[in-house]
Amino acid sequence: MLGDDVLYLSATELGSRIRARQVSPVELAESYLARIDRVAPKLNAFVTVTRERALAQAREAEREIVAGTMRGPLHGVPYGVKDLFAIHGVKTTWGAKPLESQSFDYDATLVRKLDEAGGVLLGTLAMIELAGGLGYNVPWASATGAARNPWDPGRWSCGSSSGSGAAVSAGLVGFALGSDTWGSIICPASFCGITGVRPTFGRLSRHGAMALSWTMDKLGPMARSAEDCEAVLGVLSGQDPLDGWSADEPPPRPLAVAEARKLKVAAIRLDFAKAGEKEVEAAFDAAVEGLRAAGVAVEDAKLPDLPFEAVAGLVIRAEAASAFEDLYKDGRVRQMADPGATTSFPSAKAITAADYVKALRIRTLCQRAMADFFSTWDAVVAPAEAMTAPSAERGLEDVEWSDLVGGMSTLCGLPAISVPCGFGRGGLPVGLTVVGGAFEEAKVLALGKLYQSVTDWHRKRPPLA
Amino acid sequence: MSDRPLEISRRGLGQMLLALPVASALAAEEKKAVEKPTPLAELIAGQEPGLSDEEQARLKKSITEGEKTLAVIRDFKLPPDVAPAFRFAPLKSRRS
Repeated sequence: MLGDDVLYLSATELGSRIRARQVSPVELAESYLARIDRVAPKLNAFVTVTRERALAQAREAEREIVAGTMRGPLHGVPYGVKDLFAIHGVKTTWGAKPLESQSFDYDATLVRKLDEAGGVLLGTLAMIELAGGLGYNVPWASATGAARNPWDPGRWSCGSSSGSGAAVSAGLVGFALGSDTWGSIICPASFCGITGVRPTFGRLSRHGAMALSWTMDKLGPMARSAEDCEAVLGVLSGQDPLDGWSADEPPPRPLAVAEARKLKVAAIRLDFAKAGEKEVEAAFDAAVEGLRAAGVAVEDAKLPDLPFEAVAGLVIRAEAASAFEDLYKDGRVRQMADPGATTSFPSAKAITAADYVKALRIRTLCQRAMADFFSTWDAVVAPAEAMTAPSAERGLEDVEWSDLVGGMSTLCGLPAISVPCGFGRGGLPVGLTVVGGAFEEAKVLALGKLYQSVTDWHRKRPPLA
Repeated sequence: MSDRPLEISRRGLGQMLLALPVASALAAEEKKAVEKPTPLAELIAGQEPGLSDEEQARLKKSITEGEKTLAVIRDFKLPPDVAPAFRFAPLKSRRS
C-alpha cells in the first residue's frame, strides 16, 4: 500500500507520476480504497464506494499506460463526486433519505468526461440533502448525517458539498467534484483547507446533475491546489448539447503564474466588528499583504450597492420550490433530516410570479454593474467565509455568517476560487476567495497559483489519524 | 455579509431554502422577540392544515421574516428598459 505522502499528492502530481510509471494506478486505487475504509466512516464523507468500478478503471488505465496510451493529466487519478451526479449502475441519493434508492441509467456528462480522461471513480460523496434546496439549519441535514471536518471531527465540513470537502482534505481522493448554488463549493473548501473552484455559470455541463436552481447551479472541482482545479476544468470544459444552458465558450487558457502579477485586484473588506472572527480577518489581511509582496497590485475597493443577497435568495428559493415540488406534494418531505424542510415549500408561496421576474430584472442590473466593475478590476479578493468551521453537533441558528461577495458572485454567475490562507480559532482553516469576471477563470486560477507558489497553506494536512 | 438590514442571506435563506446557511442582520432580528405573523403568513398557514402546531409556527415565522426580503425586491426602483435575466429561445422542430 502507498503511504499518506503519496495519497496527499496533488492530482496533477499523481498524474505526472502515473504517466512516468512511478505510481501504479491499481496500487493507487487500492491504497485510496484502504484509506477510505479506515477514515471515511469517521467523517461521514462517502455515500457509496464504487470499489469494483474503481479497480476495473484502474486496471484499464494501467494497461493503457503500459502500452503507451496516455489520455491526459487525470489518467489513472482517483476521484469522487458529490452524490448528485447520475452514474449508471450506482445509486444517486441527492443526500436525501426519501431518494436513497434512486438511480439513473446514464452517466452525467462530467462523469462521462472523466471516464474518457481515464479518471478512476472511487465513489459518491456525502452532501446536504437536496444541496440545501429545502433549506437547512442543522449540519446533520443529510441522509448520511453531519459530514465531519478532518481538521477537527467535532466540527462541520460545511455544505452542501460536505463530503467532497472532507474527502479531499482527508486524502481519501485525488480530487472531487462538487456543486455550488450559493457557497456550496467555496465554503467546504474554506472550512476544510482545500482549493475549490466554482466556474462561471454555463462553463461546465450540468447534464445529469441534480437541479436545485436552474439559473444559479454550477458544478466545479475541489482539489488540493489551484493547479489541480485548472487541470480538472481543462478536462471538463466545453459546450454540451445535452445541456441547453452550457456556454459556447472555449476552455479557459491557463495563464502563467507570472501573468498574475500584472493583474489589478480589488480587496473587499468585511466588517468583522459586526460579524465574523478576528482571526479570519487577520489571515485575510496577511493574504493581501502576501499577494502584494508577490507583486500583485491590490487596492481596497467597494462593491456596487445593490441587493445581491436578497435577489440571489429569492431566485434560489423560487426555483427550488419548483424543483422539489413533488417531494412536498407526495409527503416524502417528511422523511427529510432537517426539521424545517416541511415548511420550506409552503413558505415559498409568499413569492409571487411578479416578485420572481422583478428579482431577475434586478439581477440584470447586478450583472451590468459587475461587468463594469470587472472592466476596471481583474479580480476581487475577500475572505471566503468570515468564520471557521462551526460545531457539527449543534444547530446553525446562532451561527453568524457573512457572504456579500459570495452573494454577488453567485448571483452574477461569476467564477470564484477558495484557497487556504491560514488558520483561525482552534487551528481551523481559513480561505481566501478570488472572484473574476465572467469566463475569466484563467485570471482567478492564476492568482490562486501565484498565491500557492509563495505560501504553503495548501500543503498542510489535518492531524487525522 | 451585508450590513444592510433587510437583506436576505444564505443563513436567512436557510429558514426557507438555501444551499448554505449564512447569517446577517436578519439573523440578529431572529433573536429578537417573536414577531406577530403577518396577514399573508396567517393566510398561507391556513391553507396547510396538515402541518403540526410547531410547523405552523415555523411557517408563519418564515413567511413573516421573508416578507422583509420581499420588500427589498418590491421597493427596488428599476428603469423600465431593464429586462429579466433569463433567455427564451424558440425550439425548432426536427423538420425545420
